[in-house]
Amino acid sequence: MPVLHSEVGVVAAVGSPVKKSKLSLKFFQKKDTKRALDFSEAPAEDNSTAEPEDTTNHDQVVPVPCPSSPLTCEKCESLVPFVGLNNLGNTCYLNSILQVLYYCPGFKEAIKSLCQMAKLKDKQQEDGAKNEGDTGEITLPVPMELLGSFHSLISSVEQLQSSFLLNPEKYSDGELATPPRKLLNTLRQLNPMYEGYLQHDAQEVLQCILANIQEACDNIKKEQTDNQKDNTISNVMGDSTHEEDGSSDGQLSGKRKSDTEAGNAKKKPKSQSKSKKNEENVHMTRSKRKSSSDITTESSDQRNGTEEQEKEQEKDRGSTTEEEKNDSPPKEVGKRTRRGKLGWLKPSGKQPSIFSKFRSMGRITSHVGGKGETKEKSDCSVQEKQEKDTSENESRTQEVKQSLEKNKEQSVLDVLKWMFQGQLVLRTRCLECECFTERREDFQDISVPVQEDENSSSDSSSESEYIDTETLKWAISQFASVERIVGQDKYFCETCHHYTEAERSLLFDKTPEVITIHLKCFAANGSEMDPYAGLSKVNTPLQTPLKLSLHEWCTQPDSPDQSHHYELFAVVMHSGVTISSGHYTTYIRMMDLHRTTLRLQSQDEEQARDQEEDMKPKKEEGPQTEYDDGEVSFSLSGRGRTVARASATSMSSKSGSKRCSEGVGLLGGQRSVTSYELSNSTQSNPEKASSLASRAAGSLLQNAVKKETEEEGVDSMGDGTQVNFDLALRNLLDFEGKWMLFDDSEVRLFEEEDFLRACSPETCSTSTPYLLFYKRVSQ
Amino acid sequence: AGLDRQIFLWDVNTLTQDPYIASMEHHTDWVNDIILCCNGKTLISASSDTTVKVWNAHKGFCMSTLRTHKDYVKALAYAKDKELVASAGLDRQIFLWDVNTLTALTASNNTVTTSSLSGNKDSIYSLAMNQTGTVIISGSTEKVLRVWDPRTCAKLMKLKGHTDNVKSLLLNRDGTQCLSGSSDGTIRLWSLGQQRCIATYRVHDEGVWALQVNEAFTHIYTGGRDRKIYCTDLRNPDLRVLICEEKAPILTMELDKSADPPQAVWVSTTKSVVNKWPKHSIRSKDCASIVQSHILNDKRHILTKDSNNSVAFWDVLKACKGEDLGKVDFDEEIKKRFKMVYVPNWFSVDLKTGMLTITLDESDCFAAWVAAKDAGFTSPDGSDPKLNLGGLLLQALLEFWPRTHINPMEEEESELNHVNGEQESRIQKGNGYFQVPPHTPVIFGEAGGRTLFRLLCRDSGGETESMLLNETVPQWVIDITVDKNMPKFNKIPFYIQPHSSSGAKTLKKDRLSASDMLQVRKVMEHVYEKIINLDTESQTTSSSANDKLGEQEKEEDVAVIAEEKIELMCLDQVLDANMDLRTVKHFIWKSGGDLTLHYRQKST
Repeated sequence: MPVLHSEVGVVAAVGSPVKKSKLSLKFFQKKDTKRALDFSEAPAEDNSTAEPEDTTNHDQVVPVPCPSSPLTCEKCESLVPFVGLNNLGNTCYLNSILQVLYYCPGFKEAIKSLCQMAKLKDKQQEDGAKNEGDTGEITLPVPMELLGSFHSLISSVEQLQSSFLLNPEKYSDGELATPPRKLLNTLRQLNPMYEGYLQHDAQEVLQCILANIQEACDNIKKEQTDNQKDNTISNVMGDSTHEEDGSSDGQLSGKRKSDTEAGNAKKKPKSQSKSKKNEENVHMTRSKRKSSSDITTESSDQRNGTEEQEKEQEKDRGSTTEEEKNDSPPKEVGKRTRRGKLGWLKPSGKQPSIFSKFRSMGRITSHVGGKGETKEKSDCSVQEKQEKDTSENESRTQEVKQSLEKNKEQSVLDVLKWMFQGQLVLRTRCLECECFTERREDFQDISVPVQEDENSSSDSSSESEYIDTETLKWAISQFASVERIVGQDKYFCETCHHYTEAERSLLFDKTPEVITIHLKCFAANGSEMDPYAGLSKVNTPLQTPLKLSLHEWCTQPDSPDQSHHYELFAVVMHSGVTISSGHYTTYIRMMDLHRTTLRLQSQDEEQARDQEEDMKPKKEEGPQTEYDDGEVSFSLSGRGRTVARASATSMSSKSGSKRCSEGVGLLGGQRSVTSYELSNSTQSNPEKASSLASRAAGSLLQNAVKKETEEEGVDSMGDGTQVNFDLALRNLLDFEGKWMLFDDSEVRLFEEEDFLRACSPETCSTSTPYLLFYKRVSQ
Repeated sequence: AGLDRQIFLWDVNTLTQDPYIASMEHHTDWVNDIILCCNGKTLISASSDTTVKVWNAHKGFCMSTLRTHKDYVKALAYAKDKELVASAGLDRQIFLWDVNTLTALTASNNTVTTSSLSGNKDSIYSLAMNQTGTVIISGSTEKVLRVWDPRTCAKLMKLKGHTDNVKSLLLNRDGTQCLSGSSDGTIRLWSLGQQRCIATYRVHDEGVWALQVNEAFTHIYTGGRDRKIYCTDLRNPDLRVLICEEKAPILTMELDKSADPPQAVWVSTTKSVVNKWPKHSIRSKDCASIVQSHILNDKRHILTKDSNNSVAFWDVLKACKGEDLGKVDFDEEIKKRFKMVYVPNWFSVDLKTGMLTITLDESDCFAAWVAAKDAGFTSPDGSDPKLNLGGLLLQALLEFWPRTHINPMEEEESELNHVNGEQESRIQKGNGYFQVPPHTPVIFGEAGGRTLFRLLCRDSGGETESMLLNETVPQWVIDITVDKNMPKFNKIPFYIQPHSSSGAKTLKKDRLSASDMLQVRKVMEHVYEKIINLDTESQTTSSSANDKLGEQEKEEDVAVIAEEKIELMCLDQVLDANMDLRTVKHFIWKSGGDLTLHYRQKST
């Protein structure tokens, strides 16, 4: 706890400067990149890295201003009204995922509303349990923090975007990007694995984030119910109780995950009793946390009823030790994080058979590979780019609200599940009596075998190219294939009392709004072995269709209420020759921009403004400061490690010298920002930069004009900025349906054909689609 | 007299004329299909025991057994004009048999040559041949129909269209048209000349399992999982008539073709019932099958529930039914008969044939020992020997086998034994305690479940049977039945410590070991003698792993004293002197690791 406090303080101090520094950084970065391009990379990197480090120490990235080069100008031109995310040290895995989530229809709004709900509660709690003052904040469950930090990230992205739209000139030289620092910090709290600057697997991060947000939702839900039911009880329950629970959870998770989870249900009662004993002040937050954990666990609990005894015992142990642990919140956090993750993944644990199937499909193996990869990765630099429209946000929010308002808060809480979680059915049918048994399991993504690759735009050192022979459809049917149980190992049919032949098939029972397809790009066997040249990645082409229908794998293919047609809206690409290292970028298709516009025109303006205002204060106060703080500390610690690592890993593969340089640069220099830029520019720019630039030019020019006009309006925001907004929106509209490449802090425009080319196997490159995100479209 | 065909899916083939004539039992698993040929003189059956059997239909005995298939035999087809029979099964093979050859088979001349049709890629579930034997069609999970010419064994064509397993097939007389019923719920009419489907009938809600057609090939009678039987006009599918609705999915149908349109249809369902429609002269053979079983804790008695919900109580050891309990609540009965006893598993139960089948496997068959007294037996000399349940049963089953009456020899494998008990009987050699009913079927099989040899208990004295037994009885069975080598007792390791409340100093941990059926009483004696009494002396020898405390002469009185003076506890629970160690371990200790017992002197 003490740690946290101190951090907070620091943060506050650092607060405002940071922002500015970002901007400047951007410039700087760009320059660097350009440099890199122009000259040999290695030297450039060194410089860049060194510089950033220094700067970081002070504030952040207030970079040493570099001479602007012609390249810079180009960039400026190509600057699009979407915000990137700075690379904070190999955090491209995170950036790519965050971008996807940000543009995931409805997600932003969900986060916002969740945050609101959470905040309301916090206030209530604080009121209730004022005694604890400081602790209150600290005790905030980490998942909730994640919610908060995500929210603040969204806010800053939105803000940045709108300010860019209204004021493009300000950014003429720079980059439009914001560092996802706070979020990263929270993530590290949640899972220590993400400390340091190692490379990680994007899919794991996605799962981690979703799991924790889900946990936060559960917490909120729990609280709601708790509040209703037992205000008094909650008072009675001392902090100790909650703490105990938390700690016990952590312990348990360490020991036996399944048990722990199963045990949660029971824990509660016990903890209550204990709490009574310890008559301390009630800590609402604590209770929240606890509740959240309970919920997650509960889902899995039901099955484990039998083991309860053991669990209880464990709990007891846990509780005894817990008090000691209370003092060190970070630890708890870490543990809890894991638990959360587990919770999200639980289904797998629950139903081994299905999972085994997954495994056979290569999912698990891929995971393994991925992990290895993450650990070893040394290269990605982080910057993020993002853009946002306030207007867009608003419109979306409204939409979301419309849909959600019906169910109100509850639905908001379930929105994650609604969005990402579907259900699979493992159906085993006896061929004799034709009875079948079903087992259901939730899924958040589906892992399909691939042989691999497609490529993304860029390119520097492409290794090998492959021709797409396989289609995604093929891959999914691999995933959902029908298996016959015949021969010696027949199925014992309960109805027949006999061993009979049977068919086992995996079907989608419920499909989520957004279906995430994880392409298992790694060889199932030697993860590090690539068929070609002994490299790790499996490079077999897989065609990425823009539209997807899950029809044939659904239990109710013709159900009227659910369309099983999907449309690609985001792709996370992994470029790199080996599993162990690489760079993630994200293509996202801009959608719903026009809707935003319309709304804006009408009355959204005010709302937008309000929102903005709201966000600003928030940012500047709590969150920002916090993360600044975190940032500083991180960067310090990180550097040491990174340097060491850099030497070790310096050999990353080749991705061309450029790639290497990237990685190295990141590691050593660590100021990921610069390094990002390098990577971006190196990779993607050569080929397409020019074309992009030209393409974008038109719109940009327009934008510029509008922006200028808008600029004025912005300043006097309160008044009649509508015109400006309109213009801004119109600018935005130009991007409707376009594909944007988010490469950390850099954002570039891609026409669909270019995108397709980038993803197609024909293009030579080592960069291949890794995660595909499809959203449901009505027929 | 009209000829009707009945199939019991279970282990029984019953050929019925108007009253019941006979049942034929020789298969050890489901009978999947039967065919009457040679004008009703010969019956051929296909079973999930992977065999095809040829029967004399009039006398009801099995003439020969064909073991060419390697998996369940699912379907038969018959070409009347040529007396040609085809069999097919899950091993994807089709074999052609000449009935006249089959009927000429004897025990000594038992080689048959068959032609086989291969090419199927998946398990075959249905088969049809036209009357003249010019076309044969198979239906499989491959979802396509494959067509051969049985004369040349040449593949003719594949017919695609079904979306699921094909479970029933029919051919018209000249082999130009084919009807197929599939699990996808459709019936298709195919033209073999055009090699395509010329009509699809969607009559049923679920899979079509049974298919018949009238003599003129104009109306089809279909039944299936949805329990309904429809008659549909092939040329005008809208003209369909619901003939009846059964209570269970329909397995097969037979038309009374003495007139056209058929006057009656015989229907068999999964409920082991054969009904005749439309006259509603329902005649069902009462042959309820056992659908649920529970092994009681003593590992000797079994409770079963049959499809009529009647509950029965069986004695596995004696291979007979102990008691018919009627329609009582199964779970209640289980509770009622619960005993706090633990005996290791020594057999497993199989209900696939609708009868209780007890399987003894080498790995655990001899795991269970009981005291003769507990088992309700008294030995002649009045002692209380320990009996091995599996050993006893084996001895009883093979008691008529001459070889068990002498002494030497050997063999090996796993073994099955089939209990179909009703009566009980006298006492003879065997194990010296009891006998199993002489009609008890005994089946020797491979570990995988394939049957090697089946005979009735009483037949093992016959000459052929005895010879065959010599070939099939596995060594481990011989060991006990012929050589009378009793297996070793199971040992259970445990510790004895003074209870913490007694204040006595802890003994050094000596690991004791004893038969797992040692009663707590004996342990108490041991404690009393070796530890308490030795307290005065130097306790040197008490540590030895002394288990057979059970020389039960003088100790009678010691036991009494011991019981008065001390009590044994496990996990702070006082133990009943009559409990044995395995029960203690199972019900009280409950965890792995060595059992630890505590003793303390009674405070009196």
